[in-house]
Amino acid sequence: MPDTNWKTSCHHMSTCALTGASAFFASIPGSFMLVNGPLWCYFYAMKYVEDYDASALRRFHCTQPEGNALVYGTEKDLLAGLDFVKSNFAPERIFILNNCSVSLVGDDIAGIAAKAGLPCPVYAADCGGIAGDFAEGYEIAFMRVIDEVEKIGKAKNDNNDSGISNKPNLTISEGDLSRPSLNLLGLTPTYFRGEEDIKEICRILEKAGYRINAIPGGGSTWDEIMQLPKADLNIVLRDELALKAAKKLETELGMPYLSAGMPYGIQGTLQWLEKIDNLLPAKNLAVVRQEAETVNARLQFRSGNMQSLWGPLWFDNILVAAPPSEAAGIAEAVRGEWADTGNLIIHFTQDTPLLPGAATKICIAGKDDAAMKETFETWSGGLVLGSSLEASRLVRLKKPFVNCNIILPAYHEIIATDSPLCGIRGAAYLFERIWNAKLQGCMDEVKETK
Amino acid sequence: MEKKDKLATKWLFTKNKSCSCTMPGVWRAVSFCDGCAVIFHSPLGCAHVATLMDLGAQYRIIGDHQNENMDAVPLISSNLQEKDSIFGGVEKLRGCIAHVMETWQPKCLVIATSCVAGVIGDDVEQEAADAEAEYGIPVLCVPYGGFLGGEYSDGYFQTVRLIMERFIQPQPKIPGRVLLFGDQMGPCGQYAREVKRLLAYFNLEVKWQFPGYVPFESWNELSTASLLIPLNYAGQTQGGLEKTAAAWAERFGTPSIRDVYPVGWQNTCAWLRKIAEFVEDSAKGETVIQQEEKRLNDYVKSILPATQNKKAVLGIGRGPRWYNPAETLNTMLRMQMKISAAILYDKVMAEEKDSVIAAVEEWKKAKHLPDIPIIADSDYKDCLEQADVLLTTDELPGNPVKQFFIPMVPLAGTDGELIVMRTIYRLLCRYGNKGGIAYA
Repeated sequence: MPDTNWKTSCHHMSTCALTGASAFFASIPGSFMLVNGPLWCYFYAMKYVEDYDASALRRFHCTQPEGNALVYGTEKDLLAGLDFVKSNFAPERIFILNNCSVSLVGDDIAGIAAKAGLPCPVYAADCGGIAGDFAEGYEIAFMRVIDEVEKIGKAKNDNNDSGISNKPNLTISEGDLSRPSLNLLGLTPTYFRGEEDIKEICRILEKAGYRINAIPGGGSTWDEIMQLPKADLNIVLRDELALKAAKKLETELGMPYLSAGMPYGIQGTLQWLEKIDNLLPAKNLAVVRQEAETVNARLQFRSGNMQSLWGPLWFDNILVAAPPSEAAGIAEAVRGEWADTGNLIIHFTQDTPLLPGAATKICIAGKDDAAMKETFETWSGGLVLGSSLEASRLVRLKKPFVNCNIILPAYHEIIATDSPLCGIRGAAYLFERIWNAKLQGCMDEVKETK
Repeated sequence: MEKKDKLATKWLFTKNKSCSCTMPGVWRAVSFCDGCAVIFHSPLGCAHVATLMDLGAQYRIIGDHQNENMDAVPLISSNLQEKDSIFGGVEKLRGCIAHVMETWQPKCLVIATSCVAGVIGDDVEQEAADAEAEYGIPVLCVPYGGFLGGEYSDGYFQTVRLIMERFIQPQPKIPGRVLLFGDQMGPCGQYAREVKRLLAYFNLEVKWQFPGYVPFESWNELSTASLLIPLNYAGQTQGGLEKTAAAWAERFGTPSIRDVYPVGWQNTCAWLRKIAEFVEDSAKGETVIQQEEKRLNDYVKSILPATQNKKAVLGIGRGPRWYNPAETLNTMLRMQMKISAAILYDKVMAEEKDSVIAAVEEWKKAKHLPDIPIIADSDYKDCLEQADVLLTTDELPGNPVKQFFIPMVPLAGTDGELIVMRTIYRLLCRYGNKGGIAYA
């Protein structure tokens, strides 16, 4: 991120690193998160996780240090917080997450934790907002866990245990000789329909003949994550969350990786799968192709029927506002497979080198604030694929639009079904949502006219 | 993972210290003042927090079927990063100010500082002064260092003070022109709407709601208001609003209604009498009270079949700074419910328990209801099992009792009382066990 990268909040910005790290750590079952920072920061991070995982609110606590603690250290507050956890809970491990101002203090967290005499391991990370946004926090947490993977690997190697390979390995993994195995990196259930996306990606890959070894940050247990090196290939689904970790795993443990991105749309999903297949061949790719063809035929048929009644799925403008991994793939899928428009604008919420061909105009938050402001102010109607932030802006500017949320925050939608956004099931779901958005828009226009 | 098998409130934390952050308070104080822009000299995430607060408020307003017609002013983060903690973040702030001036051309810039900026020790006030000289617009600075300098309300009221001192002068009053003072969800929020409705009985018209909702260009007209109405309630956290309203009244010579607020029916009556006194028409005040009381009584009559003699428990998890149980207990009585107990959750801090118990005891004495038990030892399982409804400050997840969440932001006036009673009535009408908690 360049130094001159200011962020205008109404143009969308990410949550802070504390939230990203919390999301990663909280996804590991049996973990307790102790935020070493003020209530305000703790609540914000915890609430973000709790929105998808109700158990989070009983697995988070905070130390609430006084201002003086930033001068004299947070030992007293931290010990009190650890004592609270010890008295009331029996977690398998505790993660201490320092917020931004506390991380500047430089406390010896490991030393303080040792004084607390806890019956479980304690891991600490500086992951306040000063470290960056959600992605950076997730990355910090991931790297912290990889440190533990490496320790185990080293210990095993020292004991001549052959369970972890240190060599580049594109052969079949141990444990299941019939299927090539994958780690999925950069997934999180805290994203919009994140849990459903994880299931869909696993479903497709398993159907194609792969075995999923571990999904760090996506629900894998601690023991599963510690077995990361057993996979044949690391697939990076979101570069912003996991590319750095994949590179570290390659350098330190000799694990190859593929930056595959997220699979959106029917064709997009098949292309995504083929990329993986090219590097690590799957046995049952044809089965997935067959499913994709069947679903695609159904969508085309239903689209045809609807078009005969409602006209083409045309929008004067389409705005896609999301992080790069979502926005690029969804823009290609929407314009390439289902809807027509003369103007597709992408608002990338993070910097990226991606240049999707489907886009008429690309803006990057922090670099193109004036252009993003213009998008909203000159908006004349159409489809918005983004979050409640974009909807909020357009509501306040009294601009006409229909929308489908593809990222959080999604305040004006309840998520209760298990439909993903990505993969083959996700393609059908998004197709349905976009059509229904158009139809709702037509109905609303008629009601307003009356 | 949890060891104890005791009744658990939803959240683990207690609000004992550093509850909030000054920066969102600064933002909220000017968030709809057209012509302003706000910079958080902070990491990115801090501005995101404020944005989400604003977003939540907007959708709550929409959910209340209100059509908000104002756009929020730009909020920009200077994006403090780790390296700035070594070399300082002043250069970054300077660049951010330039970016804001170029992109948004504000007429007034407001800068709030984060705890990170506070720890680094950036001289933000000097930067603000330099920016003012360079760009020729007023630049207000609240260098409170996030949570280090106080709470949300400290940031909010300091911004108000800066505006008052800098932009507003005493001037002749315009009769009938009313200025609402405070936020409570803004002009579309229930509090402001209800106050406007009640003031209309007395031909008083609300011209502005300050701070937060007056365009920068109109700030200098604010002191023409002939009556100041703080949107306050009796909690101890509201002292800042009362104090600032007193400062306004003194500085600009504006009469104000400060010692009573229209939250809860008794207070609403007292408040209406104060308004009547202001317009020198006490008879009108009594007429209004009678009309409003009739509304209440008519409604209560209509819901009594569902509420009368129902066993109701009051659950308290907020300390006296945040919550006064008397209003809720009065509402329970009005609905002719049987108050079977008041329970204090474990999260009420030890030093606050006595005050909470004293408040309930005082109410019991005033109402001659000495037999209502106060349970503060966690032994309230049986009491909840027998209750028809729990009116609670905290959700009890997984507990089968029907729960009504006592609002954090008070509901005002007659309508506020009606909304609370309607929600409780609907909860009691609930068929089957749907779980969850009902919000007013």
